[in-house]
Amino acid sequence: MSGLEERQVLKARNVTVRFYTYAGVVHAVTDAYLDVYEGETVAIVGETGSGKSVFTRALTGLIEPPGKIESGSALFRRRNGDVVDLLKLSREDLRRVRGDEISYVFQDPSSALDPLYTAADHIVETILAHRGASKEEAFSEAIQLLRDVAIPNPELRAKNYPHELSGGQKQRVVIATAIANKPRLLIADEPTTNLDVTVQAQILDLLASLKGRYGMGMLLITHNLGVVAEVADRVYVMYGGRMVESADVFTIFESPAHPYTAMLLKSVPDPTRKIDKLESIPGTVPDLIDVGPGCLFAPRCPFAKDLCQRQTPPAIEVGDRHVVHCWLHAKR
Amino acid sequence: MSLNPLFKLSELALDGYVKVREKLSPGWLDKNRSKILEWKLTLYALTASKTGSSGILLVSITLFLAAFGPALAWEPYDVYPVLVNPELAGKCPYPPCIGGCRGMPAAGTDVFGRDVLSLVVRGFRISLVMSAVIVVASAALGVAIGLVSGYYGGAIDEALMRFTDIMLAFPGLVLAIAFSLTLRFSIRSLLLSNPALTGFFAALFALNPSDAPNIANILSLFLALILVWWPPYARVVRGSVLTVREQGFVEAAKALGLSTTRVLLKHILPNVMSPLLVMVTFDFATATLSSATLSFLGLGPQPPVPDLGLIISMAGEYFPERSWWVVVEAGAALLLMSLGWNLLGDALRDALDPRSRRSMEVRAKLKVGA
Amino acid sequence: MVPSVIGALLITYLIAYVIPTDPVRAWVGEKLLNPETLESLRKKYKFDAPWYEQFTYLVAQLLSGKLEDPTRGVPVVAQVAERFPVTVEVAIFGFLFTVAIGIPLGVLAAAKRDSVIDLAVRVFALFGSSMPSFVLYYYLILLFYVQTQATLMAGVPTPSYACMLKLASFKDQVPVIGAIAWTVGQVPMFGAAMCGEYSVVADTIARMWLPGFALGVLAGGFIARVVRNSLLDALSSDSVLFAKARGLSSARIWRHALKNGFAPIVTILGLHFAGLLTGAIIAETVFNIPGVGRYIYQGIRRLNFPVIIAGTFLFSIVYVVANFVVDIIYALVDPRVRY
Repeated sequence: MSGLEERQVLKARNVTVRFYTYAGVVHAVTDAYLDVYEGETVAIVGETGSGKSVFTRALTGLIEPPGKIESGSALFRRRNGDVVDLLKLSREDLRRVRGDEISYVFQDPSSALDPLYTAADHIVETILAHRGASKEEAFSEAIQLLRDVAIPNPELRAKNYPHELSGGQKQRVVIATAIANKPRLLIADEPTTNLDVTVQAQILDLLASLKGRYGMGMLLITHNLGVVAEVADRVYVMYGGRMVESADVFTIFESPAHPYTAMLLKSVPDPTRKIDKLESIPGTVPDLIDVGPGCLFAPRCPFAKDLCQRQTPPAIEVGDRHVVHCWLHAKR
Repeated sequence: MSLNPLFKLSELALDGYVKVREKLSPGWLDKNRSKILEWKLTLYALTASKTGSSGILLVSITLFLAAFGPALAWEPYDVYPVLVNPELAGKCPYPPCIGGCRGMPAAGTDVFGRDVLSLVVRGFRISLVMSAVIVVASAALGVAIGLVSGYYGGAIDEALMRFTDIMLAFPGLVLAIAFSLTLRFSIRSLLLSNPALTGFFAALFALNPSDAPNIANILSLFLALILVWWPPYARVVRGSVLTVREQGFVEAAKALGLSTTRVLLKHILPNVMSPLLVMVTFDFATATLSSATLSFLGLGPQPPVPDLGLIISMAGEYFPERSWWVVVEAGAALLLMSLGWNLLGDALRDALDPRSRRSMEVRAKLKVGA
Repeated sequence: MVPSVIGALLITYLIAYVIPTDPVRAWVGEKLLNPETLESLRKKYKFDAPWYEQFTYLVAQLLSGKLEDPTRGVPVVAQVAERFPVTVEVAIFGFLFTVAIGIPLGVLAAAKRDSVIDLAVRVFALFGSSMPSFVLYYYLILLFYVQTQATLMAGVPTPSYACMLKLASFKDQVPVIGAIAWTVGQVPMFGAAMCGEYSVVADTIARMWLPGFALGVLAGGFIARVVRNSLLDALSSDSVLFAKARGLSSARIWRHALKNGFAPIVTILGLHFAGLLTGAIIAETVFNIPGVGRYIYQGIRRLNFPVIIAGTFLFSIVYVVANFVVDIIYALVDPRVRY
């Protein structure tokens, strides 16, 4: 039994990542899970420090010491149909998956691109790392890819260094390297946060069209709920390194079950309404060092009960594919 | 709590200081509690590491010998045994020997028949005072220039920084050599016409006041080094001032009507303290070596002054068979002094690094006050 | 670069004319001369003239190479320039050893972070910066020359006179390449190599390896630490993370890290070479090498003021030029820096 449903690309369960630092053990990610199906856009939402980046990097083993992937499984259906557990693959096998079948787009294209290499260099070396093409073939492919990501004058831009490109162009180059080998899954970690608002929309549209053309699954990490509403099919909400809610995008926005999700939605001001006071969530992000049992959101939750401080709430189904981790929804 | 004896000792000293301050101005403890905690944390970090404790050890030895060396040294430096005892002349420099040397020192002698070890013990004072004066004076000069330049900005900043850059663009040693030579003439005439000044410096270096030309040499040496040493401080401090200026509380202070000097001293300077302290500590090592190098070249004091660089230079003529012990002993002294300062500087830099401090804070569990 | 050259001239002027209370005395040194000679010298060197006349006189004398030692009538700048190639030779050996010791150690320390090697490199750097240079030189001479006779200690092997003539005629016949070859050939070892006089090259190595090694030991630790830190910064950068995320091979990732890590190191190495040139005074004195450094040292010992002036000026210019060259090299290495 492969464990994966028919059109499922990724199934991650019980992923726990800890960082062993001077100050103590940081529980960056605890019991995180995820499902991604072909052709859909899944969004992971959460504040800084919620563990979303660490979780998605852990999926392909991109965690360096003092970080350690303690447990979990990540079933992935490869191009050839094989189902593998990413967290159990050898380093070399993982390297082959990265950039070929699972690609990343990071937040800051200025620091992701190497300033001493041209745009084409980046794409060409990604192609050559996974396929046996000649340099010339790879180069012409690179030009085509630059055209696909809507960079005008790709022949010229290919030979440009990153500092000669604008922010939006740099991110397009990054996307071009990510799709160069037609990956099954594209993981975009805050791809538009560092860009101008107008450029943001362009990049999101680009990602959406590429997803359609290449038939990829897309995992989008963001703290921007507007982006989520625009592009996501399903949403996962993370807090303090754990999953707290997951549902399809309409359900999340219309009937959020977790208090955190609800407060998040309320804190986004409606530009059409006049308000006197900006809503915010009182308190601060939890300290993840040497964490004990109990719901991590309890200190800030207006509905918190004794039970919430003592026991971590399990996954509770409250609707069709709508799961929430909150004692409020527990059936007695 | 650390069982480290060094830490216990320094913590005792700090607590003592705190008690005294509290007696002098009650309420001081409460107002400065967090600052004292930070000091304790620095002490803890310093004494906890191996580099820190070995650095402190070596520096303590240096300071001790510098203070008491001349008193402890068992031979006068300005008496040449070969002159007193002519038959020694052909035999000196006399190699070291342990036990049974027919009256010759165990550590060997220099060409004049003086006990090398005694000379070395005296040499600590000269090395330390020279490096201290050079570093403190150039730091003060550099900090002042940097503060003024960064604070006032505009044309003053431009002019001062141009000048600093020109100075920085030159090979320091070469310039120091040239300055030292030219300055010594001027200083010599100054000292010869001013006996009180001569006496003061003689006491400082534990030298004979009648030896004015030699004192002039020493003074010209460290004046030359100061002239060459201050630019890095000016640059660093100016950089800090510029960063601090951006942070707005300078404007606030000015708006409250604080005078310029007050703003500079009370608000800007404390922010610069940490990197400055580290720089100064490392510079003690470099200054010790640089002044020894210039003395080696002959630009420092002349015989009979027991300057370590000079002693090695004189031994060079008879090197190697007839004077290797001189180089070994004096060289080891210089090495240990610089090593001590470098180790301390390294440990201090780590101790003052904000990242490692936070993690140590939890483990140290320090307390202040009663 | 021009302002720095002017600065060099200004500082030289300060040293030569302004700071000494009695400049003529300084220039003449401890020699006793009768009043008429002193007077004529005062006129010749313009010691009583206003400052702008003095300054222009000094600049003209320095740049034309005519500056003379008043007591010996010797053109000082020419003497200094004559010895410069030997100093360059020493600096080259020192540089090669520094690089050979420092860079591999630095790369190793970065690859095996916090291991024994890393610690050893730290200790090595510490000793390098705490050891007085002349002490180390004596120790090494004790070890290698006295005990083992493993090196020569006197003179500098030079190519034959015929060889130098050949180079000079080559310079006259072939335009640009000839001039470059001639300049490079001024360094004794390279001149001999170009003429095929390999015994001279071998002798040079026998003569220069010890001072080169000593210089390398002193600076190697520092360079190793700089390389280590720069590489570690590069290895933990976002672009290396992105490279890993693209599934690039380990070798390719190291290529990215090394390229980025070495860009700042090029500057440091360039300045280090300049430092080797100007710091030659000590090494040449202890190892008895007849270069500019030793010439200046002898000038110091004999209180020969003009020699010091000329030497200071030359070294200042060398430093200024070296800084300039380093800037150019950095612009070539890093595409972000283009003028």
